[in-house]
Amino acid sequence: MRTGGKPLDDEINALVQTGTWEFADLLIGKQTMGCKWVYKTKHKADGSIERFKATLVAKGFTQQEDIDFRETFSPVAKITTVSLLLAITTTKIWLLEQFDINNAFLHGDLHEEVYMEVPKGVVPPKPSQVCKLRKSLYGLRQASRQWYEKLSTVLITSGYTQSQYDISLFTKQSATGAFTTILFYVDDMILTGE
Amino acid sequence: MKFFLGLEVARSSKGIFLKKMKYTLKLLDAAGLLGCKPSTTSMNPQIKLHSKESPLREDISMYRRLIGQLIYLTNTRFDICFVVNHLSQFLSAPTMAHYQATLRVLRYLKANPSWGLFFFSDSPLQLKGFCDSN
Repeated sequence: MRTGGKPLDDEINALVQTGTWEFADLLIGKQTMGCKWVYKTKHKADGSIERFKATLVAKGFTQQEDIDFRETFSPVAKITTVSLLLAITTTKIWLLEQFDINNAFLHGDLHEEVYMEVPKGVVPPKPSQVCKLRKSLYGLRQASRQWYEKLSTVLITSGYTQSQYDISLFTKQSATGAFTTILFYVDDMILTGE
Repeated sequence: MKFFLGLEVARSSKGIFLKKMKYTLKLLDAAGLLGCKPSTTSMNPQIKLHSKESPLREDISMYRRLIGQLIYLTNTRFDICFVVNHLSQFLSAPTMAHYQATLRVLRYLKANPSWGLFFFSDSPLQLKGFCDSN
């Protein structure tokens, strides 16, 4: 948990570190997409303030199909899978952990050529330049799909098998005999195993 | 693991307990029924619901939202499965009677918002099937 730094600076740093955009001159015939900062107050379970957060969102509603985005579908875990996994975990006495991933959508790679206006608080090297997006951003139409694509690729390359019956479920049988499962619901995940 | 998709998870050596108490209370609060008189049953057996009679509700989306929330609750509250399934048959044209029946379910939930499911750790992991002749 970070409480010290300024939320806006924290977020800009996160965006720069993940290489969300590169500065580029806008090509003729291309248009920039708007963006804005959204400020949120995160609360703890008891209602007290945990921290303030700034999120950069793209104005994805101006995106045009086939130019700025193609597919947008992204799967989520079925509730029956959640229940079943918990039931099996109990009888097998497995470990059960839960995670959520910070800035999940910022991890997704963007394949389309999307230009965005320079957000407030960011100074481009040349004043005429705009942000050419390399990573996905909150508000983009394909944001959740790109995140899912990234996630499943990473898991499959690290030896996990995607379930046929719920594609948000990944399992791994390691050489030492240990069995692990990971279930995803966008940026929330349940990890169980021996 | 404690909280996942509105699901509150408690674990002991005996098993695992799932409930949606926070979700239920939030639902009751949004409907303005936190202070209501609890009901011991989820349905009135005297009332037969149908799609005719009594005027159409103006705020259909309110009804639909409530039913949607109740459907999500059925994951841990099998006791309201029947009534929610029944009420969800009238989503396209709910009447005042349907809305009243929905409020009855909410008042029933108010009685025991902490109810949930318990999975025993010593239960055999065996799939059972049941069938009915009709």
